[in-house]
Amino acid sequence: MTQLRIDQFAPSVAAGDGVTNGLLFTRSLLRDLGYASDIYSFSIPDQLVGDILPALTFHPSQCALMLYHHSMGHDHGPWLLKQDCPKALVYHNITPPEFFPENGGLRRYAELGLTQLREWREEFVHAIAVSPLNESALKEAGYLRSKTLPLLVDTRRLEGTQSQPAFMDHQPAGNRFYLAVGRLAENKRQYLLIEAFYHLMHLQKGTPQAPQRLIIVGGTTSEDYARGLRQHVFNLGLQNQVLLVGKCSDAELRWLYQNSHQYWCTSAHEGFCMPLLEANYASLPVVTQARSNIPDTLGEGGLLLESDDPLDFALACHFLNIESGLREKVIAAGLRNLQRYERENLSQALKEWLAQFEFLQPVKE
Amino acid sequence: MLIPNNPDLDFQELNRRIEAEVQRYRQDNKGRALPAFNPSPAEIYDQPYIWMELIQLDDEPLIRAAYPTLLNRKAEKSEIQQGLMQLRSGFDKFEVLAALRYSPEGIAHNAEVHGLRRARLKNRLRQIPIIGKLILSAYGVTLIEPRNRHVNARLDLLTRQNKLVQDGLHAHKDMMQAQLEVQQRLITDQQKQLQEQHKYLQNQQRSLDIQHEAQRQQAEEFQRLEAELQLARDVQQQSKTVQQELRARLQHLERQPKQIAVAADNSSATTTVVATVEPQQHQSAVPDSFYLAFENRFRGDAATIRERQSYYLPMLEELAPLNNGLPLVDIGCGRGEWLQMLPERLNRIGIDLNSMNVEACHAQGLSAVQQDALIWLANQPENSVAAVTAFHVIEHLSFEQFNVLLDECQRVLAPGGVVIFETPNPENLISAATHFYTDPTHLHPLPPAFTEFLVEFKGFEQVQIHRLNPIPREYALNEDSEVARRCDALFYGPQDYAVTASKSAI
Repeated sequence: MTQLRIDQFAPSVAAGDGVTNGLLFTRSLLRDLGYASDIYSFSIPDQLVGDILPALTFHPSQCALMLYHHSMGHDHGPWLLKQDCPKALVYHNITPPEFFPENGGLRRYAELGLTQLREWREEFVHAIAVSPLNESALKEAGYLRSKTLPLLVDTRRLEGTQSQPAFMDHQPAGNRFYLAVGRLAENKRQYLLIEAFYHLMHLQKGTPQAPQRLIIVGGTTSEDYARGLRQHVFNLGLQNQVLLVGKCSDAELRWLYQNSHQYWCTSAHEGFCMPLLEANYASLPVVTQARSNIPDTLGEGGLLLESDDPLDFALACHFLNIESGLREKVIAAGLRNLQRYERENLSQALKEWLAQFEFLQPVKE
Repeated sequence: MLIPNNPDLDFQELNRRIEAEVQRYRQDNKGRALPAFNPSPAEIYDQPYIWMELIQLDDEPLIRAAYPTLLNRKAEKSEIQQGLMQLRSGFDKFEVLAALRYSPEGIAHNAEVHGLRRARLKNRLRQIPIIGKLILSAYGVTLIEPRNRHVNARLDLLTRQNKLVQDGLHAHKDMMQAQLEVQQRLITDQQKQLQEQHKYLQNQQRSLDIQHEAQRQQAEEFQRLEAELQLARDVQQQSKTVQQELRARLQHLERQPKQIAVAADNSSATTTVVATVEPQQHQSAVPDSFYLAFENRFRGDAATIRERQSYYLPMLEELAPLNNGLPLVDIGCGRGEWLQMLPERLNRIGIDLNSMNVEACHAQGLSAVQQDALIWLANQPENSVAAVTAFHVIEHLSFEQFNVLLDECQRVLAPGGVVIFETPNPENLISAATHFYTDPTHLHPLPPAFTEFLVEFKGFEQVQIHRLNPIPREYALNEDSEVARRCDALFYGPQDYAVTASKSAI
């Protein structure tokens, strides 16, 4: 008997990108479950050539089920709808269009993505949402059958070599640093982190402390906004303590997670928020705010604030520093949270999800 | 506040303490608001930078940022020009920074810098005449090889970067070209579609125009036919009126000898009953045909009359004698318009001098008598009538006749019975001066005050004056002035009034 084939399609892929990591992770789960599985795409960067196949070589007749990964809108709808094999949707988050500049391409494609999601609902036999937030978006778009399965995180990826970033060479020895990872973009609201850091410094006045730094890692998406952040740092007199260090390699990030004191996040919108799990994995206590999908991904794995007020945020961080036993309890809860994303658990959940499709059952002899 | 998400933590206690600290912190920092975050500020270089950020700048931003960083002040225009000249003439940027840092101003500010020692030394040597230059040249010669390599490597890096940028631009250009072509194709298709739709719409427009023209012609035809029909109706109405008048004249002529005989009988019979009644010949001297023609011209349409007379219906609803079967007598009943409006169950009698009117009433099944009303009343027993109504009658009576009418009513009405007399209202000067005299048989206008007084004087109770049928408001002056108000009252006020009264119930 020939092996059943479940392939995946995403209009474009990029090395290191969340959706692409999800595709690779899902492929490894499918292969472990005994299916033949490949990934197809129209836009494949050099690093992934060979690993991901051109969409034009896809054979619908050989494919028992295609998992189509949908995030931003794209122009390959006609090709997708023409593939006459059963298709299931894997829905990744679409950042709400209002977070993008008006009349920009990103905004147009975000809007298109939402339109396509609604218009294509009859095309899929079932749908997977990678988070509860996304599942509620699916329901809103009229999908009657869906399930939340975070097919995103290969916890094995969190392991690996570490390397100290060069900018740390200039920092005083024994400094205590607070870490935030994410692109410099309006929806990430790093200015709240800066203000929280300002308040934290004032809360600690009068108590001798080791030198402290706020390290904000992430490439610039919006130049204006990044300049605004630098200006804000300057206005608050924190130019020696808040470091906007740009992008870091995976090894550098692992080092930062491993050696930071707390992980901070004040993002207004996250489809999943992978850094929370990376912090959990590195036993780094997390402080964040209950926005979009963050409460779902965080579970019990960190301190979750109801308000956006940076002073509340600073006090939560302050208590994490001074309250005996609190830090350890938060770290332990983070490790418990991570178990929800364990490979074995997800593999089992995927198996159960696939079991509902009769056309995937091996033919009994 | 923290959202409870971990059973191992006492969130209630934690939140209580956080809240207390927030309050304390707010108290301590009262009045110290943080500067607002500006998400898109203009680029500013005139501010102190940390050393690592400063040395990443180039050209004008470097010079602008160097002054606040190293000297703690903004650069003057001339200083920016000078710095740019140095950079663009090949000076190393570290030498420019060293010159600033180790100037007296720079030493006084004492900003933290790293790796400026060599640049500072070179600056110093450059200041020693001849020897300094020789040393620098010798130093330069010793460094020719590594510097050459550095320059080559940098050139190579730039070449590669340039190529990358060019490749990127080419790729971008190709992509744009492809997108442009797609867009152009799309636009061409859309243009074609639009042209087709435009053509289709034009055809539609044309057929609509044709239909519209046909409808217009039909409408004109209809108008013409309607006008002709109206003309025919008018002619028919005129001929009907003429026919009625002619028939009346004929009947009058035919009946004349008979009426004289009847009148002779009547006059002898009634003189004993009512001494003041005028002989009936005088009353009927004007032919019935005249009244008929006169009313056709001036009476107004039946619907209007009915609407006006409906005003009185509620007064009769609860009238006990009428409901008990005693008759309502309408003096000058005309063609029975008023009697027809009353419920059939009521006992209704019309009295009219005009034989044609009486016949018309009979034709409608109404009970009617052709007789002088005063004579008719005189022949009725006491307390035998529920109501006496007379619309536009009393202005035809002399004072004496009106007296007799009221006396007779007082006699024949059952206790609680009512009278309703409507007449033109002379308070409206136009009615009093003009319309009143349109009817040559009207004697003189009766002012409401006089009528009210006379009816009261004759022993009636609950005497009321009802002023009715004012000229519609749109014909009035409609100005907010005393003159207009007075004119409106005098010229556009109620055209008629009615006196109503009842006979004592005891």
